[in-house]
Amino acid sequence: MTPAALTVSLNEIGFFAARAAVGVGVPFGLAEDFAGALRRLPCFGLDPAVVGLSCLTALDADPSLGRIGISKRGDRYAIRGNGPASAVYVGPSMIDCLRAAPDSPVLARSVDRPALALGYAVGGPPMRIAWPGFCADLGGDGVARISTDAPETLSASGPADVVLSAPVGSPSVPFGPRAAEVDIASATERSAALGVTVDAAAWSGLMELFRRCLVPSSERSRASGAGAGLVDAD
Amino acid sequence: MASPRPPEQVMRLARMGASHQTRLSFMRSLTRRMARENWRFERLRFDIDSDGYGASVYAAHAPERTYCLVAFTRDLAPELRTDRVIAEAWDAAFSLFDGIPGDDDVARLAHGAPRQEAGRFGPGDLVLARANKSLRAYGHVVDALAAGRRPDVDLLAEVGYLMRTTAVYGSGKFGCADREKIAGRAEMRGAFQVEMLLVYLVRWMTVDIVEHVARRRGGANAVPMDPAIKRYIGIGNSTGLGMAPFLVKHPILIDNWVRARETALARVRGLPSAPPDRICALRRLVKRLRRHLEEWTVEDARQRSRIETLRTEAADFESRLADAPSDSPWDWLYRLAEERYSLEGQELVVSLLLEPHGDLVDDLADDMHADRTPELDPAMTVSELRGLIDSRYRWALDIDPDRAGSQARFWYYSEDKLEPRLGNRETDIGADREMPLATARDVRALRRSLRGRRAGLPVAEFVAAHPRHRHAIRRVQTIARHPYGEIRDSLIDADLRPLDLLRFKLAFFGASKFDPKSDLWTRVAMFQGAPMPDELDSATADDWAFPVRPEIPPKIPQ
Repeated sequence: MTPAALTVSLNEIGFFAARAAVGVGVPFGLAEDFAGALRRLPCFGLDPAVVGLSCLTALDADPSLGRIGISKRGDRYAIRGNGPASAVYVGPSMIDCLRAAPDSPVLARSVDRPALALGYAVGGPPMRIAWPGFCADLGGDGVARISTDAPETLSASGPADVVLSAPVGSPSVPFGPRAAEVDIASATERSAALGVTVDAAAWSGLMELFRRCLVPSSERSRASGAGAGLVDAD
Repeated sequence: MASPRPPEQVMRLARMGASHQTRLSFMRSLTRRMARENWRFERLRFDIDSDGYGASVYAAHAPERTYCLVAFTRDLAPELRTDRVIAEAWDAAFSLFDGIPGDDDVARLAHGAPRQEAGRFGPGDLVLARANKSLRAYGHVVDALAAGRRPDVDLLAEVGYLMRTTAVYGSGKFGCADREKIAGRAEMRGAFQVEMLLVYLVRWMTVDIVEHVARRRGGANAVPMDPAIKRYIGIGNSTGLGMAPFLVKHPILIDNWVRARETALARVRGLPSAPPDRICALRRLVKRLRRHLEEWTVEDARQRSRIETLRTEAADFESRLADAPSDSPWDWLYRLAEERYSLEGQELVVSLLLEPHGDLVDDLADDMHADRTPELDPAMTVSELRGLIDSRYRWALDIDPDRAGSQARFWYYSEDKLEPRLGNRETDIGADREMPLATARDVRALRRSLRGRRAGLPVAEFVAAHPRHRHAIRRVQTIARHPYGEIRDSLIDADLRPLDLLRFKLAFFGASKFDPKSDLWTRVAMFQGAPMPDELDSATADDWAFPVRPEIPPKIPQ
């Protein structure tokens, strides 16, 4: 019987997720960022395999989700697609815009999986990231202060408009009973020390996409591989 | 301080493929640390039968932690013995365990470690590895010791080890602990220290097991191995194409490695004079080096020729030591090499010049790691990016993409256990799935796309419209800050010799006796000449560069 969950390392998430993204046609540079974002999701109790697979299967089914445009009106950047936009493409652009102009808010319209955007945001400068029902301040102190209406459905939420902005001076996020504080460094250390538990079926789905990057073996390629033809019983 | 050699000189494949170990190499820094911190070593478990098969545990006690090699040896049918990634079985399998393993851990690893890539491991397992015997050397040593004889040093000189590792996996592979888990530990601060520790313990295990088997076979007739012979036995390694993607994927790390070595060389070249003790140390070392070169024999015709040249150059270097001026003698010696010797000779002189200057350069070993990953700078303008490419990637822009063979190869992962392979773009399938190692081609494509764009356009906006260039932009920006991180040759050219990449990395590890088996594959010796755990101290820890055949009395002491 296949187990419901398995433990993987951060390195495995990075290696396999990047190539799974390439497997559905994501350019390698974006795929690296995607993998980096997934590695950060366990800090928030989010399953990187579930979120990652959801993003990639959506892109695989509809590659037009990856077509986004970026515009700047006044002091505000806007990112949008022709309908829902893939977080795999939107996420890095949002962070780029905020880095390029830290005081300019960034609005991304109809992001298909906002939870992934949170992974990108953790890798960015201090900021506030918000979408309907969710708000987080990622401070320069390495602590994320989060408030959400429905943490249990965060992985699957979206599409939603996501807003990034410079952090406000004080933690003025409307913290309610569903609020939490996450020390990012400690949470990352915990993931490295204990591994990351992921949904086995979702991981298996990611691996399926990863295998698209592999080249079928043939007698010819096997015979031309490093070490081929050598006698190792010396 | 003299100026470090520039990346344009250092990071060319031909020179990288002429690299030698230095005192900053990772094996060297490990033995120095272990001696300095008085690490203790003990065998904790030895469930090994009379044929040498079973489970064993060897502990290395660092000041604050213990690391254990958990080893499993087995009988292996000769037809199953291959060093390739695609092998399914090995003579020995290992894990480096974080702490002291309990019986449950050993039982778990007994199931998983021999399966290697097919097993699953956990955060308590730091490294996974396997090794195959050199049947000749292993069998001979057991037979000799069992019969009360000293092993044939000539044969050992030819092989150099009893077993060779064929893969050493760290950093989170197959569920093992991530690098982040141990990166903050003082003893793991340098590069690849945990992997080198496993290899060092495996070497000890191979010697321990052959002595055990010899005792079981020979009974009262058996003799232990002479300590000098033990020291001369290294641990082998077979390496293929897997190292190439690593070198491209980690530009900041590679920059730190090379920067450390080049800074060390610059410090030494900048010394105004040479105290007599340093000159004496260098003379002694050159004598040892010349013996080492005489004993370095390979079948590969190209490497054989290079070794012959090295022998001549080493003799020349020794003869000219007396000519060194009293003013800036080290710089004079380096310039001598650069003007007169082959690339191998020049890099060998770099290694020699660093050797007597531990007090001046050893601190650099602590900086040969990287805790950052490349980041895109989205605020940079298109104009600035164009400028960077034109100034830093001239070598890539100058490659004529229409020249026959300039894009002949592609790198890929095979479905066969993800074995990295190098394909021919004209004749092999899979070019559409190539690894992103074609930096020169990708930077040229980026430069073309930047043509005609508004000069002040931020990269953030350009890359949103052209996401396929994100990888190349990040690389160009990273290399601007970490210039030693880029190999300044195309890795997809028909003339590429992957061996150059392997040698570069293995030299930084501290390997010696490079023994190419093809342009894609090499064997090396690791830790040959290094003190065994029971003799590791400040006097021995750092004096094992250029190992030579031991000179031992004609009879085994009784």
